[in-house]
Amino acid sequence: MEVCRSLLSWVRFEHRASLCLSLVLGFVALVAGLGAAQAEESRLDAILKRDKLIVAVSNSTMPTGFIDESGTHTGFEIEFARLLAKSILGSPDKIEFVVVNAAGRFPAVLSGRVDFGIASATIYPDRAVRLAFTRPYMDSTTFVVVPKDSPIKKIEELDSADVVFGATNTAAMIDRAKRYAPKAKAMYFDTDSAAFQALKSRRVGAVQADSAAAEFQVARSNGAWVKLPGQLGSLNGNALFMKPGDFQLWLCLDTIVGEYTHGSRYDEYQALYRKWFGAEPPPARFYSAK
Amino acid sequence: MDTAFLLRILPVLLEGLEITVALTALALVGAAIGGLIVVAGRRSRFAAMRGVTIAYIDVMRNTPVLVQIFILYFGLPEIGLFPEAFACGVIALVLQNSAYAGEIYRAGIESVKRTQTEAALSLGMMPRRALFDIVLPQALRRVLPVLGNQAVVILKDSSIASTISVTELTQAGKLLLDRSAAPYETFFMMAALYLAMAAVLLGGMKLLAWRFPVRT
Repeated sequence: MEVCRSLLSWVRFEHRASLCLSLVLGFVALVAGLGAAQAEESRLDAILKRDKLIVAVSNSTMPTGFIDESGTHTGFEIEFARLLAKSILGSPDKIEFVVVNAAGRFPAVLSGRVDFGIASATIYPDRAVRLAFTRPYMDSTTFVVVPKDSPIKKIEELDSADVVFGATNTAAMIDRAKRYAPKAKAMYFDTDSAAFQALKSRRVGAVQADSAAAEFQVARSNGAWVKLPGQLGSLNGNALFMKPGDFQLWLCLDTIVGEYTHGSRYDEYQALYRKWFGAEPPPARFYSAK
Repeated sequence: MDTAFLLRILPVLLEGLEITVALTALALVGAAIGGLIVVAGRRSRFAAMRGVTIAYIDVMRNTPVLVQIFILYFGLPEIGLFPEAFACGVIALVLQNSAYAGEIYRAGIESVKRTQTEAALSLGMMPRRALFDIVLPQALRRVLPVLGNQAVVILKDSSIASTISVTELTQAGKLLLDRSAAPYETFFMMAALYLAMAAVLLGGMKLLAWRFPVRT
């Protein structure tokens, strides 16, 4: 103690002040450095450390993510997410689902609440500015569903002031409504379920929906609804979405999706696709198509 | 935060804001009038009328406005009625907030001492005149701050109309958000606009409270 005191008395006040300042600055630099190092750490490392995926999914989009009659959260996307968990962590059960609606899915990933999302998100140019997408895990076309007794028999007939045209409030749906039925009155709902409820209660005369959802709802309607011939607009790709800037996680997810849709795990993907869509998925390689 | 983006989305949000203002204004007026009907029923001489009013208040106050709006929008077509989505939004807000406004009026009326009514009656006033000239003016002054709070609740609840496709401020924000994937900017701007509207509402109420102070 004596030594310390004599040392301190020897160092002039100015020196002591500058010493303190240096220590504070050094500490700040250390903390900032740690922060930067932490920021550079991939979320993939965090996933492996916690041994669990946290994924944003929908529970109101049939048949990709919904609650079935027994109260189980299931669907193509839910089971595909489980396949991803199996690939990354070795078990399809090492996953936690965070339910989001259309408005909540992007904030969920951007805020870091989830690792990534799989919630019928279409790859879209405007979105790509702020989100990272993997390659598509499924193609999605858009079909139009109308009541069986509807006077609308063709997609071209949607463009009329007498038509009330329903959809979910997503960018792609809105663009299609404006492009293919500008004269129709458009109504946008939060979920597919609400849009089809509007069709059921005759609030709208036609609903556009992703092909999978449209097929499912038509099949479930016991003949009350039909699908108009042809598709509305071009082919879309539905992909996993995540916060941009994490190349390691993106590469991992993109590679795994590729392995399921076109590579070594194609058979599992094919079985899942058949189960939920009752059809064959696109072939693993275009030259292997029959 | 992307400030240029904030400015780009402002016109779209302002279009939604117009609908929110219309929805809120109509619901406010409707609930203010509906509240008077509710309080009249609640203080009726007839037990049946009081019973019906109490049941109405209980149902409206204890069920979410989202459920009410869905019943109106998706349920009414089952009986052949197709009110517009905007009308369903206004009706749902009026129905629920009339119940609250009625109870607020009642609290105000009951806070005025009974001796005041008795004094008015002893001076030869008819009961109705005593109510309208003596009790109500005092009661309304007392409940102005609470009514102001309820007005802000109506403003915020108007966002629920977005679920039935009314393109008010929240729906306009949701559409922007889905296109741009820019939640922070969109939510920030939406919050700022709601805050500005609430400030105007509360400012108006404070002005009224200043103009009509409570006299003790």
